Amino acid sequence: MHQIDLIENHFSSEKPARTLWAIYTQNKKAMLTAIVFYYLKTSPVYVLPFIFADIVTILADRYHHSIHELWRDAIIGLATIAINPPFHVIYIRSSSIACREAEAALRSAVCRRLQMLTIAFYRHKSSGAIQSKTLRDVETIDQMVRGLFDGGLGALGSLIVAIAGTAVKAPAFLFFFLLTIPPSLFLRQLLGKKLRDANRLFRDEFETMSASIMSMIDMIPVARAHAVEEVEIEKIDHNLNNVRRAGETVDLRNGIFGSLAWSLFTVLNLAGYIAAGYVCYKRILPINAGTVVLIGGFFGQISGSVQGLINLIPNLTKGFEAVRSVGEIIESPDIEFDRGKPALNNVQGRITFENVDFIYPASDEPAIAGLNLDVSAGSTVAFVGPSGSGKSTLMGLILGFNRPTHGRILVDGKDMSAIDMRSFRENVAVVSQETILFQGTVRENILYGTKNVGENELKQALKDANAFDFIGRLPDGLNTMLGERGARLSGGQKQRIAIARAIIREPRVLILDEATSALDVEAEFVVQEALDRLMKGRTTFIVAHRLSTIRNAGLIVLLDSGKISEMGTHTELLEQDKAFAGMYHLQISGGRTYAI
Amino acid sequence: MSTGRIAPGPLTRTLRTELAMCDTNAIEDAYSSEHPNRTLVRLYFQNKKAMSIAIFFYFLKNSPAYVAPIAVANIINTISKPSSHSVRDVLVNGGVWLATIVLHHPLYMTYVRNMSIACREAEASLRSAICRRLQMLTTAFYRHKGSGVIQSKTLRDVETIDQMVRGLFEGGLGAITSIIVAVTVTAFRAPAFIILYFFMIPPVVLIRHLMGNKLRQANREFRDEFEGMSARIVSMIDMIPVARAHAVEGLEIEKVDSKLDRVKKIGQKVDWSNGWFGGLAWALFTLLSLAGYVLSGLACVTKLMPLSPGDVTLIGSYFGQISGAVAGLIMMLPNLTKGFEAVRSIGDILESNDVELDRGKPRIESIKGRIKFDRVDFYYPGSTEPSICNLDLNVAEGSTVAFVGPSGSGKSTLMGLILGFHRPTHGRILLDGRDMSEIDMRSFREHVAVVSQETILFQGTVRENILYGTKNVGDVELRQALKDANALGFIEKLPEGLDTMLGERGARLSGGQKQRIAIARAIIRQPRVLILDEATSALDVEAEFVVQEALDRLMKGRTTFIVAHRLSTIRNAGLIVLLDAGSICEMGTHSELLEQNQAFAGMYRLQISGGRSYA
Repeated sequence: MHQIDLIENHFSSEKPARTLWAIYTQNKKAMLTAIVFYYLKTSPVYVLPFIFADIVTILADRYHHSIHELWRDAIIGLATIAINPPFHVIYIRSSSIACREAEAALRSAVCRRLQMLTIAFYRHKSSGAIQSKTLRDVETIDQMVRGLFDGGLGALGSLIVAIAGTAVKAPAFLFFFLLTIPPSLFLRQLLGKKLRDANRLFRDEFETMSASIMSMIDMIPVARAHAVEEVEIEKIDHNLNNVRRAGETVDLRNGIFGSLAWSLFTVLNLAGYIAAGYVCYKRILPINAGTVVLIGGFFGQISGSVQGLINLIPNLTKGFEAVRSVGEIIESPDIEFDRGKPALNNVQGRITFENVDFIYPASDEPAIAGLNLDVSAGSTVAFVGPSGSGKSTLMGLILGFNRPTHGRILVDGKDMSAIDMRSFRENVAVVSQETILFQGTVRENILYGTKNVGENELKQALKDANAFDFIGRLPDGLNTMLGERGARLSGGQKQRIAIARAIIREPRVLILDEATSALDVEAEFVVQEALDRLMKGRTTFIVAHRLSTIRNAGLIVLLDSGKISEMGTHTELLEQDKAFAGMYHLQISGGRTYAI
Repeated sequence: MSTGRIAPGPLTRTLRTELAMCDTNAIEDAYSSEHPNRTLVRLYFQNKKAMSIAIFFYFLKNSPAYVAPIAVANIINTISKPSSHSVRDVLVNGGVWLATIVLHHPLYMTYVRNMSIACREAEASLRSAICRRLQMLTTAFYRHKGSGVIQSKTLRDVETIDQMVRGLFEGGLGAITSIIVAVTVTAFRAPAFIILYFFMIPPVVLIRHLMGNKLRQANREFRDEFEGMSARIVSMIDMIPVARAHAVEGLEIEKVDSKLDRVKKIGQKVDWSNGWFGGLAWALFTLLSLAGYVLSGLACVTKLMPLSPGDVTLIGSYFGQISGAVAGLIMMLPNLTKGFEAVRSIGDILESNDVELDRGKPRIESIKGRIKFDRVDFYYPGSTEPSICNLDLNVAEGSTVAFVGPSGSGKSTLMGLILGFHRPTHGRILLDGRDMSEIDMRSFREHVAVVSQETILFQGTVRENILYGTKNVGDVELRQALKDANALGFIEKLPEGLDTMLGERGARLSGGQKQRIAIARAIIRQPRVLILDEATSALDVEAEFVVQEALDRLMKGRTTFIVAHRLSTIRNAGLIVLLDAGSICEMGTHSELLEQNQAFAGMYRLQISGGRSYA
């Protein structure tokens, strides 16, 4: 995957053809060999019509030709065919190298770019759309390029050979080839727009249908619980029916176009035969029976290649669309700018907010407004406040996922915008409400992103995370597979794995974003105990809805519309008896006052 | 995306008649993934008339292709022996050929029209059958298959089948007729050369044999590797925020690159073997074509057989046609394999026996809402431990029962049992005294509303989301429901009020707002039974307060089942049931349970204190 940067630099979705050329000629030698050997290996296709024509000439005029000439033709034919297999193999080898390398490099470039894009990018694109760009669109591009070899190069070759052959053997008939141009232009003009419209309509209907089927699948539990299965089915049937109708229109129009094109070309083919036959019969031109066969064959070849080239157009359109779609990732300017900035070594964990404002793109209201806060290394700060008050945005700012619109954030006194945030994040661990585990063993999930961790260290981390016992009970212990086809873990178990993951990293800064809010009481207790152990000596930021879980934080910050509205220890805030105290009492009482 | 309900009227009627034509139940009954070819025939011959016409006209429209070589041969004969033919012969042959060309267009259009009808109908009815079956399958089915898998079955697999069938027309029918015509015409004009056609059989068999094992193996290996790569990339995309937070982007890229590299190498191997066989096949067939020309030429020159130069051209071009046809047939094999695999894959849905058995059971028109569990046991399939064990409970109509207990104690399973998503392994559940297994549960569910932790809203307007599955709701009723759900205020502040689009490209709502829409949805339905499954647990304090108030209003007079982790939210339930490992371990009102001072009281105190005791 050497030339990935090259792909990123050359990618331009406005010039899809040039982009493709740049991607697929990365391995110039392989591509050039493939093209040269494509023509060499298909040479029999071009030579054989001449041989067949010669045979017919020999037979038609036996008195002037001997049987030896027939043998000569046979041997030449055999020789050209014998050339094919070795050349074909060379062609396959080099075209495969060129195409597969380009495919892998393109996917790799997409993935690389995905890892660099800001987290904001992911808020706007669903992971399904990103998947389809990385997988299906690259596949479409690959198929198009492979089609270009057979459809494009092949058609071009036969076109050239047919024209050149006619020019040599019976130049007068070149005129006939010219006749094919107006009708094909006429057809394209006449039906091009209609075809395109029908195809676009079909694609739109198909996409609508796909989307509604996906939504139907997501809604199945709801539909079931509401007993509205029939309504759902009717909706889908309605969409399916639209697709069907649009599909029938496409089929019909494609059919008309294909059939008319075929008829026109075949009539010309016939006209060529008749004219050549007539000319030969009447001896108007010095052509023999073989030439008649040859010219007839060339006509067939030309109409075939022109049709082939026309059929290629939808594939090209699709491929170019795929290039544009992939471009949305590769060309996205939304990347994190870390390159070239100095790395941060030896993080202590002091974080200072200086007049920080943050406004989400396309929003007018600030999510964070004029925030000032100095968090010393090793201390614990809890953020509370209603949804939308800016708690999660703040965590994103600390991680560098969001960058302040105004003001700055300092790590150990250094401005975050001047350091390589990746080096800072190496010293951070995050435990969030929903732990994302990947398909792999428990061990792989815990050691995610670390190197050279000894078995003793791992064991100690598991013990500290209160995870040692339940992992020991899993069928294969640490080597139990997790994920879709693997063992299912409860929410609390997943959180404890996330905590073990965090402990192993020995972070200086810890972010706990609703780490226990999805757990039930008992699970919460075990997880909280592990968290307490983890927090010791590390700068910790906590976001929590349940106020009871943050009592022992060194500092509690109440946020409201992106601003600090109250701040202090738990007891201080309760004594102040303002908003925080009100929330706290509301929650302790269960949100309602009942007469028990 | 159109999520609007279908207006009753001409459109719906045509839709119904059209769908009645391709009877969807027939597809499900006839579907057999063990006999994919039979299944396909049944599927695509639903509209027998269209399909038969399509096939018939396919042969007719191809007639120019059969006539052309004969006409060419005659023209060659005329000009190679001008003395015994007149120029009229050229024109007559040209005329016959022209006639077939002119006829081609109408014949072709008839073929396309009917083929299109047959294929599009089959495609639509297959998708419809899948969706219909999806709506009937038990929810257990969805736990085992991801929604991605189901999507791909409904969309991609049906597409694959359609492409295969269309390919069969061109590749299959076309090839077979070419072979038949070539053999017949040769039999008339130069019967001896039929023997030469037989020489094609051994190389074909050889290639097929060679191709068979090696190619299939290589292709399967490639597919596996490709799927592994896809899964890796999908997981990488899911993990991006985690990778970012852990600063391990480089590692992720390395992992993907190593997969990509494997796919590249195996892909090159597959290309290599595919290319090898393709090249070999081509060379063999071209060789035979050359042999046809040379041998028939020899026969003509040496006068071994009474062959004219035209016959030589004819035989030569038919050899070309036949080898093309055979090559086409061989190339079709991978497509057939793919299509058959798609048939099998769809069979997972259409043949699943995991359907809810409601058909034919009596519907219930009105319910009171009394639910009685009568010694209910429930085991998940494949599990040896019961999830619900010998549960006895009588819930009077209009009362409220709250279920509490650690995860895995059976709370969610119990809700599934009430909704009929699960059926008891032993014992029975009675609704107003009638056994649930004997009624059409869909009619019961029309009287149930569920508000769960995560509200699923679909892409559509707020109004559509609230009116989901109801009919003829007046504007006054809707407004009242919104008010009762504490939702009127925030909905009016949305850019287009009730007509604001929700979903991916629409307005984003907070968790509490979504819950209030779900509550409005529930109020509109005027349910007799209400299920609140962690309805407020994802909300913050203030949102919870507003939502809880709306819920209290909703619960009035309805039988309500609550599942909650936060014990403080269920204080006023008429009955609190503490579950442990599927059995009831404590039961009573809030104050009773606190007085008993056992497990519930302990949990309650633990939670109130924040799970920890601080100095």
